[in-house]
Amino acid sequence: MFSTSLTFQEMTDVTTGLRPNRLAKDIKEAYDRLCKEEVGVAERLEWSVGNRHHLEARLSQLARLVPTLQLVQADARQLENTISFTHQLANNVSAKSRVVETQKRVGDLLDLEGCSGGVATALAQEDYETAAAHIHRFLAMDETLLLHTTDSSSKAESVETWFDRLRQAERELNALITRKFDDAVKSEDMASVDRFFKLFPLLNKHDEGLKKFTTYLCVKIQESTAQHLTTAQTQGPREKRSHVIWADTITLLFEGIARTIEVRQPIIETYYGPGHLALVVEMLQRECDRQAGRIVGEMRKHRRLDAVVNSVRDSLRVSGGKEPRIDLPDPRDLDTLLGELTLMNARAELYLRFIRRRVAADFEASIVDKEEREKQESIFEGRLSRSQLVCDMAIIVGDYTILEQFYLNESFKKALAMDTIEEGAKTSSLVDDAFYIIKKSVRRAIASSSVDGVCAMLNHSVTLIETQLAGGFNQTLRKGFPAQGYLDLNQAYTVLQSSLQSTLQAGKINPSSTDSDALRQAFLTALNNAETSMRHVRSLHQTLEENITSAMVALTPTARAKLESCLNDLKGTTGKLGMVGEFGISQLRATAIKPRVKPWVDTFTITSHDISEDEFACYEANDPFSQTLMVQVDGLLGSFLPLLTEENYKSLVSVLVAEVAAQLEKAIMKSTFNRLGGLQLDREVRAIVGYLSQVSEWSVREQLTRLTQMATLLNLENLAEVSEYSTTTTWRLTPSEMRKVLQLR
Amino acid sequence: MEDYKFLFKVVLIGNAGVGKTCLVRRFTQGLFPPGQGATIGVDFMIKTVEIDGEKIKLQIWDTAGQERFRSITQSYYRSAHALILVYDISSQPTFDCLPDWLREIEQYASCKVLRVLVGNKTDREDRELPTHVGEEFAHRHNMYFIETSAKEADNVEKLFIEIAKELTQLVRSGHFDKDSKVGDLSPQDVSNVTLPPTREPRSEFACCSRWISSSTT
Ligand SMILES: Nc1nc2c(ncn2[C@@H]2O[C@H](COP(=O)(O)OP(=O)(O)OP(=O)(O)O)[C@@H](O)[C@H]2O)c(=O)[nH]1
Ligand SMILES: [Mg+2]
Repeated sequence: MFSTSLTFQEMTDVTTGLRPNRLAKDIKEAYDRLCKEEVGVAERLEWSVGNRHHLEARLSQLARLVPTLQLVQADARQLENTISFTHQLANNVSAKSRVVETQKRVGDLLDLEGCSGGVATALAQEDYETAAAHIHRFLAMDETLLLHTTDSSSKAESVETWFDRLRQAERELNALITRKFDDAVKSEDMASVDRFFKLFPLLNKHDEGLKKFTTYLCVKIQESTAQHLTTAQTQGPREKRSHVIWADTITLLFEGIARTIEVRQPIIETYYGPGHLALVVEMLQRECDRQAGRIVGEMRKHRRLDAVVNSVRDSLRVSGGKEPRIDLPDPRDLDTLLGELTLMNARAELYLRFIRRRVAADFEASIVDKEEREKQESIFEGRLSRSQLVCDMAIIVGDYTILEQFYLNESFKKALAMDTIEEGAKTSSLVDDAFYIIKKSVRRAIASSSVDGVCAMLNHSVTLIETQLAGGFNQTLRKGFPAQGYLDLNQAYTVLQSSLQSTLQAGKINPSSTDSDALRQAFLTALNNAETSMRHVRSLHQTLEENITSAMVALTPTARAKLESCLNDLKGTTGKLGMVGEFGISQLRATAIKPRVKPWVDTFTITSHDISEDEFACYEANDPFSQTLMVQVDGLLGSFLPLLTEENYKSLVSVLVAEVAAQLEKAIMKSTFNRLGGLQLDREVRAIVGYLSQVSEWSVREQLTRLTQMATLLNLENLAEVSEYSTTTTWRLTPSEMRKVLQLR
Repeated sequence: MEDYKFLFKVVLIGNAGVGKTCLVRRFTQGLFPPGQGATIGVDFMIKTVEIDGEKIKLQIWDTAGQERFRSITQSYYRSAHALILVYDISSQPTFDCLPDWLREIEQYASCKVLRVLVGNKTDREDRELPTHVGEEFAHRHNMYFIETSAKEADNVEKLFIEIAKELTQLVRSGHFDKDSKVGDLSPQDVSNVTLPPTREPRSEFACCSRWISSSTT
């Protein structure tokens, strides 16, 4: 447009000019320019028309943004106030500051006038957002200062009037917003609830707004819990989740509150700023305490929890002494109840963790000072950890633990009563059963997410393993392994084996077999049970440790230390079981090995080693000792092989090898040797050591080396050879022992 | 690496509110906690002390006095090396419950456990139980006895140090049996100190009237 008018100007200038040629040219140029511009204008126009809807939409969006912008503006003003106040302080002494200050006050005064008028208009139009924004601006002003700013009394008067009007408006708006909010709550008008909730902070009524809003949220929670409780109470016992209905109901409560926080937190943060969540959560928590208390109460009533716990507690107290109470529950019937109790606590823990995380994040966002933040956090944590919910849950865990302890002990008693040993099995059913029960109990405790519950069940398991299992095996082993009474040893073992076999087949003690057979079987089973239990403990410890690590997250250092200590005690039970096993093996050595080996080695003693060439040759063809010994040892080991676990069998072998070696050493020391006798001994020792090394482990070979060295000493030609030999050998014999051996020739 | 010669488990029991938690806090943290709430379940703290130049680690389990948590708290008795039974010298009922506590100890604890009776809150004006009453009770039941004030830090240090000393001596004399692998405790198997189950006859160490303590040293 401008350019067009300019061109007309040009044109009038030009017509007054002289040269027609130039004129024509100029006109042409101007015309071209006009054409070009026309095209441009047309394009722009077209674009504007084409985008009309878009632009209109934008404009209306802008219109809608106005209230928000007003809030922002108000905030910005407040910020400006703060900044200038600081500025004012800094420049207090300088004269310049007066100018600035005055400028600000003038600004305030102008705003004040605007606010005063604006509020009235906005209120009249029910535009509460704008009204609140004006009040917010007004609340940020300093009344006395402004009054002093005005010098003329007439001006001061009007300032006062504005203030009065605004104060009046503030009161009105306050009452209005409160009423409107309450009305919205009453009529369940969610949009209005949200609308008025946002206005409280503009009137500097943060806490009031939050309290009103949270109270409203609490009512919602009450209502839905009441509904859920009714559903739970009227549910028939046959319905699918009726066995965990109370856990489900309390879960709904927790989820409802968590969702409420999830949904409301952004609104609260936007209009109230961060740092207000703790207040809201604490109020919600009080409601949660009440509602959870109701659910727990219903659960206790419907599950007869107190009655069950009391009878079980009494039975644990008298512990075996008197008649079992008739109203005592069957441990199997406790399964569902235990499951529900653990589920309830697990849900509560999950919920509490959520709350803690959210509040911590809010503190993080709002409190810069680390010390102050930690203080606030610990105040919040202190309140939360003393909340009724936490107490109720602790009591549930306490009750759960009593029942679980009972379950563990009773199930074990049953397993003990039904203890059997299957054909071909080395251990009895008790071991597998006991560890199955322990694992089940502790795992259930882990599922409850309660550290105290898990620790208690680990402790109770340790007690069970040490007193009932290890203690029980120990008692059986103390009765001994009767091996006397057989003259023919080979026969003795055949009898032992077959009688064991038959008792195993019968599944109980064969009436035709002797008491000794029963004792022997019981002894070997106990020995195997003890050793197998150790392996079970190790794998149980590992499994539970893994379970705990994966299931129980975000533990405090104290909680972790508690769990670690109790887990360690569980692992420590292998020590007790190991001692029982060692005792059993020592019993075997005393009654089943030592007396057997003695007559075998006696054959060596009565075989002369002061022999002639003929005898030597005869021995070669007709071995007087070593062959028989090896057959006997082999027979003995063979008879135990199918009866002992691998580890126990290894222990038995090493004990047997040690015994043979020790007794043979003694026998050698009691004999005398000539040159050929020495050779004969060497032959015998080689055969025996060769055989024993083959059946035994490395650990026992040292003793065998002693035997070999004794034979070597007895085969040397003269003493010079001893020192010669010593340069290449580490002697397992002491010098005095060597001297004694050499004297045997 | 933490290094210490022995690790002992010390468990505190007794009625709710007698001051178990305060005693533990006083000893481990050197403070008297204001507004102490009732203990829920079991609390756990560690303090290392030095006896004759050797580090002794005390693992202190502070149990809840409330009946509701009994199954949880009782589960710790058996592995305890020392049990501290606390009552409140200004509250007759807490003293009257002692026989019940002793029954629990008989039932669940090892017979070798070191048992200590503690009369707490000596700073209070309204004493209901004269020292000699506690002393006699302890004597009758073969227990050590000491009066303390967690509030005034009276005898608290002494209580735990004496326990550490006594336990160290008991281990050295083989009281806790050959099977307790106390000697070679490595940090990873911290709780190697296994007590044998009740097999042997009742505790032999006649003791009591030692470290009775109206006077603080
Ligand atoms: N005057 C006085 N008050 C004490 C003393 N020790 C503890 N208290 C007070 O006794 C109350 C209970 O103390 P706690 O240590 O919590 O008692 P508790 O034995 O741990 O109680 P539970 O954990 O419920 O078994 C608190 O109010 C303490 O302030 C003391 O030595 N003197
Ligand atoms: Mg306490």
